[in-house]
Order: sequence, then C-alpha cells, then structure tokens
Amino acid sequence: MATGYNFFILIALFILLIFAYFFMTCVLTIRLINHIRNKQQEKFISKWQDHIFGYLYSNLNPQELISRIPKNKYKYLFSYLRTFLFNLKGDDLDRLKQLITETSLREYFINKLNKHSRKKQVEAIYFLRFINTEEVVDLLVKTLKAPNELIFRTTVESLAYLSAYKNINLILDLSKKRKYLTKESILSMIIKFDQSICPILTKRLETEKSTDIILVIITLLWHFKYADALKNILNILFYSGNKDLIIESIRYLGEVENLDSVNALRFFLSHSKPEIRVAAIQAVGKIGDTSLEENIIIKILDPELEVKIEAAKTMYKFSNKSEYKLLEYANNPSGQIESIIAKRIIMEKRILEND
Amino acid sequence: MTRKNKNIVIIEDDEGITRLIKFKLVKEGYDVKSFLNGEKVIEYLIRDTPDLIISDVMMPVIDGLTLLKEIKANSRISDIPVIMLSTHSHESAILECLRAGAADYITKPFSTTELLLRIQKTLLK
Repeated sequence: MATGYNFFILIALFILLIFAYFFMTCVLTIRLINHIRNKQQEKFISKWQDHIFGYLYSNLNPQELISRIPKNKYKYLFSYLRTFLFNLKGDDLDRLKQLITETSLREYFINKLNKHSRKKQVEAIYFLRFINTEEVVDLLVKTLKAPNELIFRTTVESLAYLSAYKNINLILDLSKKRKYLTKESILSMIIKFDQSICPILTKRLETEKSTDIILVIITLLWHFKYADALKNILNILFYSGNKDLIIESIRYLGEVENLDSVNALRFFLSHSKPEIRVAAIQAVGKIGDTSLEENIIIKILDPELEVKIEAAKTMYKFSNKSEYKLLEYANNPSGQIESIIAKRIIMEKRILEND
Repeated sequence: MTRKNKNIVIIEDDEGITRLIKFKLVKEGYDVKSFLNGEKVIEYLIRDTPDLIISDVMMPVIDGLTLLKEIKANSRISDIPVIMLSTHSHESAILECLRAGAADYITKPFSTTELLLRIQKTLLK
C-alpha cells in the first residue's frame, strides 16, 4: 500500500514539474517576444521619427514618405501613428490622415479586411475610420456581421467616427443577437456616435421589444438631451410597467423641462415604489421647477428613509421656501428622523461648497 | 526674437507626444528638456529655472495638479508659468487647474500649432 501511495505522489510531482516547466517556458517566451518587439519599435522610432515629424510640418507628398518605409515595418508605423491620431487635431491630424487616405495604405487596409488574422482585421478597421467614403462605410457595414466581439466593437466605433448614423438600426439589431454584449457595452459603443442618431432611436422606441435595447436608447436620448423624444418616452413611462424603464425615463425627464414632463414627474413623486419616487425627486431637482416645491417639501415626511434623504438633498437651494423648511427641520430639537437628516444634508452640502 | 533661447520643460508620460512637442519647439528655436513624470522635476526646476513648463495632468508617481500646486507653493519657482495638457475637458477640471495657478489649459486632442501660439502668448505676459 505504502509503495503504491509513494508512486502516486511521485507521478503527481512529476506532472507538477512538467507543468511548471511549460509555464515558465511560456512566460519567458512571451517576455522575450515583447522585449524583441519593443526593441524593434524603438529602432523604428529612432530611424523614422524625424521623417514622420518632418512630414507633418512640411509639404512633402504623403506617398513619398510611405513608399520609403519598408512594408515589413508597417506594424511599427501603425502602432506609432495611433498615439498621434488619438492625441492630435487640426492641421496635424489632417496631415496624419493624408498618410492613410492619399497613399497606398488605403488599399493596404482594405485588403487586410479580408485577412484571416483577427489582429490584422481589427487594425484595418481602426485605420479605415479615417477614410470617409461610401466604399469604406459599405465595407465596414459588411464587417459588422463578423461574430467576433472585438471586430464588431471596433467596426461600430469606426462607423461612429465616420458619422455613419444611418446604420444605427442594423447595429442595434446585431447587438441583440450577440448574447455576450451587455447593455452597458452596447451603450459604450453607440455613445461614440453624435446626436444625429437621436431621430432614428426615437422612432425605434415605437416598435422595439427588448427592454435592454429600450434602456440603452433612453440613456442615449438622455445623454444627448434630445427633447423631441419626450412623447415616446412618456408613452413608455405610463404604459411599460417595468421599474428600470420607468426610472430611466424619469431620468430623461430631468433633462427636458416641459409642462408634460413636469406633470409626469408630479404623478411619479407619489408612485408606490420608493426607487421611483427617489428618481422623480432627483429629476425635479434637475429641472428645478418651483411649481413642484410643495410636492418636494412633503417628501421629507415619506415613510421610506431613502426618499426622505433625497427630498432633503433637493430641498437645499431648490427654492427659498424649501430651504427655509429644511432649516426649520434642522433646528428642530425633537430628535425626529427628519431633523437628523436635515442637519446632516445641510452640513454635507456646506462642506462641499467650502471645498 | 524674444522667443529664442527660451527654456521649456515638458512633463508628459507619453513618450511619443513628448517627442513631437519637443521636435516642434526645437524647430521654433526653443531649448527643451523633458521628463516622463514629475518625480525629480522640482529639484531640476530650482536648479535650472526654465521660462515655461508644459505638464500633463494624468501622470504616474505625481499627477500634474499636485505638481502644479507644489510649484506654486515654492517661492523659488512659483513665478514659472505652467501650461497644463489634459484629456479632461470638463469645466471643473479646467477651473481646478486654473485656480491652482496654471497659466493656461489645453485639452487633448490638441494642435501643436495652437500649443505653440499659447506658449508664445504666455511667454509675452
């Protein structure tokens, strides 16, 4: 028995040793590859930096510069260009873009779109965003159908950079099919578009069934402060019955001051769910409509603590009357919960103001 | 010709951006010294007082705002104008730097021509 037991321990130790050996080999290989890559990048920079900077501040033909750089050094060129494409604007950026739009690099990237290597595809999709032509937009739209997340995400970002907002419905349809995309990640991609997408998104609210997509759309309309979506948002607010959708819609109302939104907020200040009452108080505080002054003041007496706190926060500097009432609660020596909240909120706000 | 031989210090953790600004400024006749972070900058500034500092806001070791406050709190170098360079375009971030004594604030993405003009304007003050 003891011999068999020792044999198994020996086998286990041997396997562990093999794993450790492979692990160490992998780590060392990766470090070596990175080291070589960094050295090559440094070598590229020291050789080509002055040529690239010189090109930026001269009338040199972009093709002339590109034709001097060997093709096998392109990966270092692209890595170097990215920093500047991201950090520069104006004439500097225009000159950089010419390196892509007015040279053989244009065809180079278009050809790379069809390569099997994901890394090369992503690189091509990134750089194609600087070529604003229908041909490139069409090519990128086709790439949207690729199942890979990084390719999809980079393509959406490139289409956003090109303001290809007419494709927003296709992007949302494809996002729904990709189960790995959360509503936060969909939002983080689409927010890169400008507000030209808002009319399309507003129209989509009339037919969209997915709660996640509706939430994404309302957040985008809130972000762009798009007032023309009010009617559709009010429809969701009164007919959806979904708590998350109601809260997001109320948040939108906080950006759109209008009689209809004020009336809707008045209604939702008395909603049965405390989270919804909190959202409504915050929205009222945002639009600062003093016709709702009494509705806010009374909320400090709400049975729920979170609602009381939000009401006290909003009462501070909302109107003369609400602030006076808050001070009255704070100076009340009764030790009631409203008095404690009022004292704390006034103290916090004053500290923040003095900061 | 006032700008000739003026000394400028760049504190920026992005080597590419540092090199580009340096290239542009040297081409325009400035003497430029650069640092990748603000760690030993104060000692250098006291020793070799430059005419102007360009500092990034987001940096490792010491962030740009802290460095700016340290510069402004040290009477030997507090007069050196500091231009802040940052990706933050929020009004609060800009005001915070200007309140701390920054001479100017430039948001990224930026144009090197605009940066040069702001440098010239700041040096004339």
